[in-house]
Amino acid sequence: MIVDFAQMLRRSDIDYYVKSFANTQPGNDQIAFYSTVPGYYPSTGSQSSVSLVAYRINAQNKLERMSKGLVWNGVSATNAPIVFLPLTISATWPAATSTTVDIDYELVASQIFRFEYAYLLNDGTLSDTPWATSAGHINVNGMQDVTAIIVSIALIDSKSRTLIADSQLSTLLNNMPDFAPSMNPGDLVAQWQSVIDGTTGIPRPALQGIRFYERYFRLLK
Amino acid sequence: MKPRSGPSRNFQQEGAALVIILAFVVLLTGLVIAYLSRTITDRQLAKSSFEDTAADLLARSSLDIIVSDLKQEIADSPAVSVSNIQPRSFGTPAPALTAIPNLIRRSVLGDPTGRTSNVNSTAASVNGRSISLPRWNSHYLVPRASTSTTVDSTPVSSFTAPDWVLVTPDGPQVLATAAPTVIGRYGFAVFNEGNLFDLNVAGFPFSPASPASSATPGIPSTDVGRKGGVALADLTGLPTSPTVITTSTSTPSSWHSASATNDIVGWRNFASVQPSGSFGNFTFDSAGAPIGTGTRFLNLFLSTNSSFLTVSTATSSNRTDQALLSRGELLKLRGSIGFSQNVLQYLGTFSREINRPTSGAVTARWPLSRFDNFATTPPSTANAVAIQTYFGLSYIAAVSGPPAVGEHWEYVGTSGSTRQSAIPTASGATVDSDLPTLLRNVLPSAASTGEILSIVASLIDQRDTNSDTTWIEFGGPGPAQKAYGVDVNPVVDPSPSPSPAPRPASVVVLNRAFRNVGELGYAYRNAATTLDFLTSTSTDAPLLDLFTFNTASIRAGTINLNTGNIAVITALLTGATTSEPSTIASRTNAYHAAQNIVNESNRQNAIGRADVARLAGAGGTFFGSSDEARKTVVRTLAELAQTRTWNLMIDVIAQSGRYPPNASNLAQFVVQGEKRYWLHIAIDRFTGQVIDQQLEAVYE
Repeated sequence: MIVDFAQMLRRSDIDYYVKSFANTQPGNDQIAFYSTVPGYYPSTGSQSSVSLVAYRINAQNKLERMSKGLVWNGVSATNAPIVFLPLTISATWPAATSTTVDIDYELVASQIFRFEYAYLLNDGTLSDTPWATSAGHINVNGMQDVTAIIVSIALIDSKSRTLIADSQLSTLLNNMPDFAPSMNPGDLVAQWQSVIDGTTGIPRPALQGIRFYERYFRLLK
Repeated sequence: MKPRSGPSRNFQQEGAALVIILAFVVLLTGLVIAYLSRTITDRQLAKSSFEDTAADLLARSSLDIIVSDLKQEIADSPAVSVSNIQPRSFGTPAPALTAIPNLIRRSVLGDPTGRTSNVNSTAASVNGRSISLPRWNSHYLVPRASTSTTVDSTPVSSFTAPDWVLVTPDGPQVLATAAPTVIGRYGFAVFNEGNLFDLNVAGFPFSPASPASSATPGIPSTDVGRKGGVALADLTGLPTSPTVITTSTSTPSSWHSASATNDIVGWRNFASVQPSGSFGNFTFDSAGAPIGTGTRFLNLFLSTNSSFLTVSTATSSNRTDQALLSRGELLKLRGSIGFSQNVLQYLGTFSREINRPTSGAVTARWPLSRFDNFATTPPSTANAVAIQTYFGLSYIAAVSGPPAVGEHWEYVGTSGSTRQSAIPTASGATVDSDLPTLLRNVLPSAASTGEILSIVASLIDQRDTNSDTTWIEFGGPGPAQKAYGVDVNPVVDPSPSPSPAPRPASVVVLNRAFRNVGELGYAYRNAATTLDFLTSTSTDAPLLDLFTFNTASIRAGTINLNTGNIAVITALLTGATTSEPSTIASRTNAYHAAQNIVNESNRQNAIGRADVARLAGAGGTFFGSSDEARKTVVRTLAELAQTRTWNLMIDVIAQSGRYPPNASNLAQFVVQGEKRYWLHIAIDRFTGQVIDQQLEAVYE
């Protein structure tokens, strides 16, 4: 993830599928963006240096990563290259922004069942929208206002996971709040811990197998 | 009596206990080994991550230092001169060695930064780490030593690898011996990316593209020739051999191919131009095709307000145009298309320019499109308003007579309704000031009102679509004085005052929109001589800096006028119109003129576009000896080149690490982490403002 974010393309004329006040993404978050990392390329060859990267929690409550290697422009009618605005990621690769199955998704962390992210803006504030509304900005504009992406995850070890039914885990993760701009660093995982502490109906040994992590991924400027 | 079974039972029990104990020992040993293994692995991972971060921070800090040096250099010399219009150069080859036009500086012992130590980056460290010459040239900005097609970035022998700058907790320090306080080291080279073609803008398609001898532009040669933008640079003017081009190099033997250019343009402008074929095999319509790829290409690149900083919003078949996002992507694209590595020294991916004059108080350049208000007469109401705003003129319709009086203009100023006798002084002139006021600001104070208005009238004659000579009446309240332009037909005026001077034997009149600022050189400053854009002492030359075809305030694509790349100037000049409407410059003549131009700019740097007149004069008569032919250089370079913005690529390699206690020389460094960046940065030389930058992490 650190490499994906570090090599994220940052241009005002490309699309990002990211959380914002216009796309609040309640519950688990989803993100899709272009990055200059290797991906799974189609067999046509003519590999470009850009991949489409996406993260999501799948229907089995496990973290998946897409790394779709893109070909050069004009190589084929079926394999899309990087597209610039007005074409969007969601219109070109629907699976990157939905729950649709795609061959280029792979399971990267089967223990992670909760995925939430927020933004550290250039002025030091935390935000659920990747631009500084205080500066009058109204769109993502190449992530120009974002210094880092803060990723918070909850994971459950495999042994504990066997003690919790899918429906219970779904209920649990839905009870874990989303990031809110009023939060300070660390507040989100603290609230998640409170939810776990207050949860009944799930064996305590199973809940004890849940851990939280939060990390800041700096974007290349 | 049965024998006692006790001892046997005890033996079995003891044996079982031993097995159990051994099993526990094995299990415990396994656990300890697994623990140790995991701990060691985790420790190694943590250390590796730490060293990566340390190297990254070191690299970024070193970039900050290098950029600060550049900004300080500007701050130390606020008065721009021929000696400081370009970044200070050091660490470049000695005069007797092969020049490297793109290299500005590198870290070298004794350099002006005072930070570099006496240890070269090619020297192996204690753990065998060194930066080879091919690695230093992995961007291919230094000419290659070999002309073979084998992928090999080994630079020419005159390139010396940077020396290391040693970094301690107190910052960079020059050390003579290894010291335990050293926490890392970095080396850098700075290249002038403004010397190169920004491939996001440069280059047009060909049809047919092969064979090379038959390659023909896929857009009309008149449009290529008028050079309205860097997109109209002919990339087949870039030599692929030899790799080193100097002012004494004879005409190169091979050139970048038209088909490779098509592959680049087809990939880049896939949606807006809509070529046929697919990647690696794009084809374009011939120049004469109505509403074909050529038309679409010109519509995109001759837009007068496009900055070319972002990709066109055109879409076609769910595809868009493309941009080169980094130099790394350019290198990969080259590999996929398969064109010569030797061309990479002329190609870049980042360029910015503040489109502003280099002298005077005017903060933007005057749009040539304002002359379009004169395209038809009588002007529409809206055009008449614009004409008074931007030219201070009022239209007077023709009278059929007798006596017949041709249509003409009165100079009434921007807000008046009666003839003015003098042009206001230029105090507070802006880009929105009227043309006579601007000219008053730029031309010598001795220039009379009549002389200035004659230039205006001649410019109008170049732009309007009729063949009648324009005149402008001024002065009052008595009889009007008249300032005449020069057009195909003589003046229709029964009472000329003063009488127009004898007309030149032949005149070139465009009768169309200006396509570049150099075309102002077709206008006459009086009835006998055109504007002087050919001598170093010209007082008309500042006009070249004052007007612009493209009005974007910050734009991509324009070339550093002081580029030492003869190949780049050659590609700009190739196909330029030498004589209206369709005589164009050959590549060979362009090459020889480019050699002269670079020779002159090396002798004395250009400070602004006004210096194009000097460079054009030095260019020689390869395009012909007529005034029009000699101004070919002006019509090309004054529009497509600039001097005020430094476009640089800083190549830095930083290594975290330490010196072991027994290190006996500066090479015996222990490298623990390494990071390389290419920072593309645009700095306005005149203000020190960082206009834009792109940081590119290099993964090798």
